[in-house]
Amino acid sequence: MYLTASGETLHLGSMSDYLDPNNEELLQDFFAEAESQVELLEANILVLENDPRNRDAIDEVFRAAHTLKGAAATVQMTELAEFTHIVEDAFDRVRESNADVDGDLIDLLLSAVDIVKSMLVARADGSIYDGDQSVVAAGLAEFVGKPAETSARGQVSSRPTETAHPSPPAIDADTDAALAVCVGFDESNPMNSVGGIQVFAALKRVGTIVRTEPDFDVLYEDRYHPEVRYFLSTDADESAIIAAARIPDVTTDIRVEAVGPAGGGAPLAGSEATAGSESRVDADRPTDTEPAAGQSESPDKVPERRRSTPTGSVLRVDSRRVDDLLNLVSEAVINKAAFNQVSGEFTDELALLNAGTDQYRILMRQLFDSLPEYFERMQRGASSKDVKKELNERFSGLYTHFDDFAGRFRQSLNKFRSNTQNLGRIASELQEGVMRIRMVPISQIFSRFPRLVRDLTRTLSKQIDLVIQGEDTELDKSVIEDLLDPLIHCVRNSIDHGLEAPAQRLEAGKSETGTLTLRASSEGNMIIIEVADDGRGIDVKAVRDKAVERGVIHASKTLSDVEAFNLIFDPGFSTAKKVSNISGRGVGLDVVRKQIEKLNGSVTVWSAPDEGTRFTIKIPLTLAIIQGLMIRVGTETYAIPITSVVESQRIRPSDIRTLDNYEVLDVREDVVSLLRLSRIFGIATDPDPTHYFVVIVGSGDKKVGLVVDSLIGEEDVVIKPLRDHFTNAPGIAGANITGDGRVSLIIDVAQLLELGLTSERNARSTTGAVIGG
Amino acid sequence: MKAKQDFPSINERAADGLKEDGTPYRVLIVDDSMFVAKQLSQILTSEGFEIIGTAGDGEEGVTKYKELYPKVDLVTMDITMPKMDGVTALEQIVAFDKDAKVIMVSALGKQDLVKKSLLMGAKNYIVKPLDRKKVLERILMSLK
Repeated sequence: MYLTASGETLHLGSMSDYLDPNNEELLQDFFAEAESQVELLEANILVLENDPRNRDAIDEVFRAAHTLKGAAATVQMTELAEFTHIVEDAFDRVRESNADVDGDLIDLLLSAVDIVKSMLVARADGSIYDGDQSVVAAGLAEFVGKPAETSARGQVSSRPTETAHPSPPAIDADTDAALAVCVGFDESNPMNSVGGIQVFAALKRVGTIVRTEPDFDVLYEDRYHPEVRYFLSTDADESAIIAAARIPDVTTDIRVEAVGPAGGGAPLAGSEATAGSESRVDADRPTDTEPAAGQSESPDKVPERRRSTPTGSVLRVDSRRVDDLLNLVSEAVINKAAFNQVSGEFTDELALLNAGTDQYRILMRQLFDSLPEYFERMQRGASSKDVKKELNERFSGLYTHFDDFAGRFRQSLNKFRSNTQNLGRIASELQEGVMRIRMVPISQIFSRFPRLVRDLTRTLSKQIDLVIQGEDTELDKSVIEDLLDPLIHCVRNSIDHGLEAPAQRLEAGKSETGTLTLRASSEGNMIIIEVADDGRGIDVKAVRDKAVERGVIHASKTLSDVEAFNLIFDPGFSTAKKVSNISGRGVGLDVVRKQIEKLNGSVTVWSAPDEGTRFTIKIPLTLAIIQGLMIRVGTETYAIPITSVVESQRIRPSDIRTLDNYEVLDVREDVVSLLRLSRIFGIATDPDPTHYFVVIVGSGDKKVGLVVDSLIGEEDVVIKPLRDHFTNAPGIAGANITGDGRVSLIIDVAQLLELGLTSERNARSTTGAVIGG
Repeated sequence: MKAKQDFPSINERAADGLKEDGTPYRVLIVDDSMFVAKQLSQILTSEGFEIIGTAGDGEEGVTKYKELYPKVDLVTMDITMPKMDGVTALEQIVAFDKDAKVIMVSALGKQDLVKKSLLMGAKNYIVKPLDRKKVLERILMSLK
């Protein structure tokens, strides 16, 4: 607790500020929840499109809109609260009327969802949505059957309620009422029509309510009554009645009056009962000057421009995963204690060793010192046997002098080893555990596709079934975020170019409806995502012709189908005859490859004419830790991501051939061009070694051999990004700290390939010019 | 509440969430919105209440209440929830324990349901969007 100057206690910041609409944490939570509600809305609207009578989906949409409305009001995003209120109303209507949800309404609702999304995006950027919402709002309002009432702030006034009024409970007209309780109600209370019933329920606990004025049924209606009189038969005394009826914010003054028998409406004026002694005004007026809950002072006041809130940074983690981590941490603590103990033992043993060596030295000196004496005695005729015996007696301890130490040392060493082993296990489990915390199911992005596919099929008048498989597959949060764009590209590509229009499909003898499959699965440390369609497949010839036309390949080059498929990932390549706004601007698939490679992944494509096309994206589970092949160049160590290593070889300098001024190496029937890391990174190495190592790395269909001095081995590499002035380090993906504390750089294979190939292409074009000229 | 012992308060105000014997009131939060549930628990824990459990829908709420009974001093119950709505859950909780203290949490526009709940035995209601002061006031009123 902090103390302010005035002596008031403030609550610890994060707690009391939590509901402040400018609170970062609140906003983050809000955006996280809003996002999931919007997803829920969209998913269920799409369900309704195919199954208009699905009551669960209708309820779900209603609830999602309702929740969103409430949350938006909390953070004072009035426009959002009002708009979602209209959606909620529309669905309430659907629920009540049992009406079918027709296609028009679906379209309307989806555009409403889009507006909600834009509103959220605008708010996340610190601005307010200023687009046109009137058409959608009017459409929905028309559906509800009343004029758009966007300023209602959630006050539903005259909507018919399906809830049957409960019959006025326990009104016992036969009992004579002894008291009339007059209760005033505060109009500024946001639910000012509830008070009458609330007090009714409260008074019921202290006595029997004979009747009310106005009548119970009227009270139950959704109307505000400034004052209600309850005729009560009770044994409770006045103060107890007032205490029961008093509800802060709801009631204003409460008077208890005695009334005559038969529950006459008005207090009996002039009767002794109203002598004033029994009439008391309760002082519980609305004391607080601040506005009532929900009626925040000026709902339209918009908090000053917010910092844009990164919505992606909220991570919801299964608590079991955190518990597992805690377990591991406690194990690590125990392990630390064990190490401490071993360390103590080692210290003791060092002392023992020191003492032992001192004694040993003394004994040795004695031995050396006594030697002349023994020689003398032997010269004087003492038998060598006696001398030997005496020497043995005095110095035999030398043999076993360190035995005790050795034994203890061995014991400690064993302990140390087993502790180290434990530490290794704990560390790798911790690593895995922390990684698992960052794991989120891929359904987070898969869930966006039904809408995307629906919209695209409508625009393109195709019929497509979207099949989603393996949406539970988990991968790293940071990976998943960067995966969406490439996937959208692939899906669009499949829908636009791959899947045919219904007529064409029938002609080709296929069913009218095409199938698009999104499938995720994990394979070891890799996640495999497939986007497959059963469309017309990639037209190899068209790709080839285009590639030749664009100068990507030479006309005489023979291409395998796979190589041809991979050409579509080339920058500036598009086989679509026309540019559409769906795909085919020629930026697309090359971007896909770039982005996937940025994630240390790879993308390949398979296709067969009239059978379909399949994009296969492989990405590592996580970006933070990779397996690296450690290599040495000169005195420097580098790590090459193992995923891009094809093979490694030991070669003699004489194995390197020169072709067109380039060093190449024959690897079986292939020719691989070589890049010397020592040259690229400017490192001095042995100019005339007896042999080199070549690590053949590949990205896509390109391969190159990296010439290095030696291979060290495989290691888990924790990637630390290079920041600031190091960012412009071509060919380097990051840095890593090795076990011995030295820094090794991690090679970015794709970039390195590009570096090598650009210089190669430059060189080739200059030679070409020379020949041509 | 630990903070009380660690940082003695000068103005001596006892945390609202503590009973007379110094133990905290135990609250079960039933709400399908993580956002609202978090707000409620932030408000309540800051006053020393103990959140003894949370449930994401009415069905879970009823089960949790029965599980935790009689340790629950108060239930906050959202009205619109999946599977089982708050009014039904209230009905079941009251049927199980007629002294249950249940406070409804409702958005504006649900007046009819709030009234229904109050007649069924809900002790009070809280209107969303939540306001710290109002939440505490209404909860404490129902407890004391």
